Amino acid sequence: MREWRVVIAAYAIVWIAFGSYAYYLARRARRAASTLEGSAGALR
Amino acid sequence: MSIRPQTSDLRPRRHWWKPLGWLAPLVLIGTQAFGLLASPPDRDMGHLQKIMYVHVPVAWNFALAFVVVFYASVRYLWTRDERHDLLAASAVEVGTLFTGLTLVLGSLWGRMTWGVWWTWDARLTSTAVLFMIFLSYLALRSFTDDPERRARWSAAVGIFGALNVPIVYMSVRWWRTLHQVQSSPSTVDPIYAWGLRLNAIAVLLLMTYFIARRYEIARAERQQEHRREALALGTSPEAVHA
Repeated sequence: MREWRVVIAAYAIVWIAFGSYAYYLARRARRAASTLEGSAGALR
Repeated sequence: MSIRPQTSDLRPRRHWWKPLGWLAPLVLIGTQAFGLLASPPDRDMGHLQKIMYVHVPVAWNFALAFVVVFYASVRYLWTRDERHDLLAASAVEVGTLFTGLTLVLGSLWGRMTWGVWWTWDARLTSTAVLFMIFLSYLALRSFTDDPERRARWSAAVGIFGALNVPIVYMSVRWWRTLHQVQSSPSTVDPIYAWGLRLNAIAVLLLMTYFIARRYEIARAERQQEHRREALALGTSPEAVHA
C-alpha cells in the first residue's frame, strides 16, 4: 500500500507541474495579446 | 541600447500546435493508465517501478528540449535572426521545468529504493549542474535589457548547457556510482518497454505543445518590444524590425 501511495504522489506531482505551467502559459498569452493590441492602437 | 536592423517577421502565424493542447493530455492519460494497469509489479521494486513511466520519459524529453536549444542557439549566432533566439529561450524554459521534475521524481524514487532523498551520485550531480546552468540562462535573460546582447549571451550559455547533455547521459557509464546504467529492450521486459515508449511519445507531444505555445508568446512579446522602440524613436515599427 505504501508503494502505491508513493506512485500516486509521483503522478500527482507530474500533473500539478504540467497543469501549473499550462495555466502560466495561458495567462501570459492573454497578457501578451492585450498589450500587443494596446500598442498597435498607440502606433495608429 | 543598440538598435540593429532586424529581418525577423514576428507576425502571428497559423497555430498548427493548438490541437496538441487537448490531444497531448488525453494521450498522456491513456498511456499512463496503460503503464499503471498493464504492467505487473517488478521482482525487485514492486509497484515502485511504475514511477519509471513518468521519470524516464520526462528525462528523455528534457534532453530533446536541450537539443532544440543547441540547434536554435547555433542558428542564432550564425544568422542573427531573433526568431532562433526566441525558440531557444522557449525550449530552455520547458526543458528546465522537465529537468526539475526529473530531479524531484528521481528523489522520490531514490528515497524508496536507496533510502536517501539525495546522494552525490554522478548522474544526479550532472543533472543538477545542468538544471543550474539553465536556471542561470533564464536569470540572465531577465537581467539583460538590450535584446541583441541578451540573445548573444543566451546563445553562448545555451550551447554550453546543451553540451552537458551527453555528459549527463554517459555519466552512469563513465563514473559507476549508485544510479543504474541505461536500460535497453534486451534488459527490460516488453510490457515495461512498451509502457515506457508510449509514455515517452505522450510526453513528447505535450512538450512540443508547451514549446510551440511559449514560442508564440515570446514572438508577441518581442513584437511588443519593437513597437515600444518605434514609439520611443518616433518611427514606424517596420523601420525597427524590417
